[in-house]
Amino acid sequence: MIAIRILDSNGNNVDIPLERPTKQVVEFLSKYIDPNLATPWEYRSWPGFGMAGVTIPTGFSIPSDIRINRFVWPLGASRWAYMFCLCDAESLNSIANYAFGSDGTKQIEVNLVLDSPDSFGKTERVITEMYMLPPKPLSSVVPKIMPSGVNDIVNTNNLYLLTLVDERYFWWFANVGDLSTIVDIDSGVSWSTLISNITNIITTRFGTGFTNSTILATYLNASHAFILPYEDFPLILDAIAYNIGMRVVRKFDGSVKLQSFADADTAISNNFRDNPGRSIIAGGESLIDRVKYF
Amino acid sequence: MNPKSPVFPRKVYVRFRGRMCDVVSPSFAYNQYYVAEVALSATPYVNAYSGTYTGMVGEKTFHDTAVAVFTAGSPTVPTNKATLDALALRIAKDYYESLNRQIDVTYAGICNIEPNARLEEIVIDYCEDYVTTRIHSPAIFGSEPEQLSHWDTAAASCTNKNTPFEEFYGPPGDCVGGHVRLTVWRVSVVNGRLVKRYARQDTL
Repeated sequence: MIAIRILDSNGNNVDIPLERPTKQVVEFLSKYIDPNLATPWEYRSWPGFGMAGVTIPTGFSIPSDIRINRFVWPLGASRWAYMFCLCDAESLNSIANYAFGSDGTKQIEVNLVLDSPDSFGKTERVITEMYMLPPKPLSSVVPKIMPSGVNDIVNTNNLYLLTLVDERYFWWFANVGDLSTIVDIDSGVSWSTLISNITNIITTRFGTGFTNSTILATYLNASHAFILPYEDFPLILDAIAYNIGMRVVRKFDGSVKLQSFADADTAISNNFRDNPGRSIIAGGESLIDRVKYF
Repeated sequence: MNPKSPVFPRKVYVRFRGRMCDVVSPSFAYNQYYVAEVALSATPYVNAYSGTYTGMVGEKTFHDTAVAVFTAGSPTVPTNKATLDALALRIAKDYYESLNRQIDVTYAGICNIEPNARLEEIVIDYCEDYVTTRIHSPAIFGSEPEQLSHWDTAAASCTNKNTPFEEFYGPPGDCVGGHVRLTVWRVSVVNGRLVKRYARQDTL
């Protein structure tokens, strides 16, 4: 099941199932309104003048095609999780009323619930908070108004494209302010001070908790390359992580950690130890020592 | 069999810009930069199951803003060499560590795999005829930065008296004892940035 979980007026959870696209629907979309031709966001072509000298990767991931009901959760602060899914008008009215507020002025996260449809002996489930961007009509059948004397409007229940994003989408609407107030041109600033200073912006705005793996003294201080006025928060946070041998990881529960590879390996081992019933369909690890391939 | 050898370069270079400190006059006898060299053999990533990784012929080069401090007594060997070497070793270890594990797996059904620093993406497909969870690592080339932004506070004590500069008169000015007194500002380029500092006041 895929569902959006909202709260009703009594504060109870209500799961609104989302459509699983049939081949005919996928064909219709691909033919008449392919979502890949009109994506809601463009990808940055360059980091901007102020960020040109700061730590960013030399390459970038080529985004995959938009596929309905594909949930993507990337690494880092600069990219956000997203999912495009289908929803009919009746369900959408309930979701939108909650997500945008009845007056349309709110921005309230919904819970996206992803559950296996049948059993391989597993009961795993992913539940995470997402925000909804403006839904997009995919069909536009006009409601039919019955002849006068009959007080009915035959609703059409059109199909809509829902775009769900996680909180990191909105991190791009936060800047780090004037870092010259904490970064000294002669001595730089400690990494921990820089981290706590800039993450405070997001913590204050969203209540997000940030933690980090132990920062080794070998990484010295952050240089005055970080004396950057009002640059975008995600790029700065990722730059910090790269400099201290970590990566920015946002977890499904909404917490964010600057995590070392050693801690990541421990997390992987624990996660797989706790879920031994997973079935591998394809793939594996490619860089492990082997005696021979089989 | 050692599949990591073609992935790990044999060396990692980290280039640090140089700064001449307390020198009487600028001179090309002082190094413009310091390059710390770290061999794969100096890291823990050299050991394989059935042999030793030699690494591919080549080097990965990083550029760091941390400054190598040169003085009159040490014009070619930075006085903070040990600190920079330790940082370079750490940078090299991080780089090899980022490459040390490559995962690309598709699981049946929905798997609640905890996001972590090893996984570039977690992708869940919920389609008409299949439901899968795929995880994969970042690319082995291009997913890492080459410009790093560290700073050794040892450079803070480097006064660098002979940095080229220009002086100009600017506000504030006033009149003292019938004479004009103007403020002198000094503009110089410090570590690639234009910096304006107060120099003195001149009474004309």
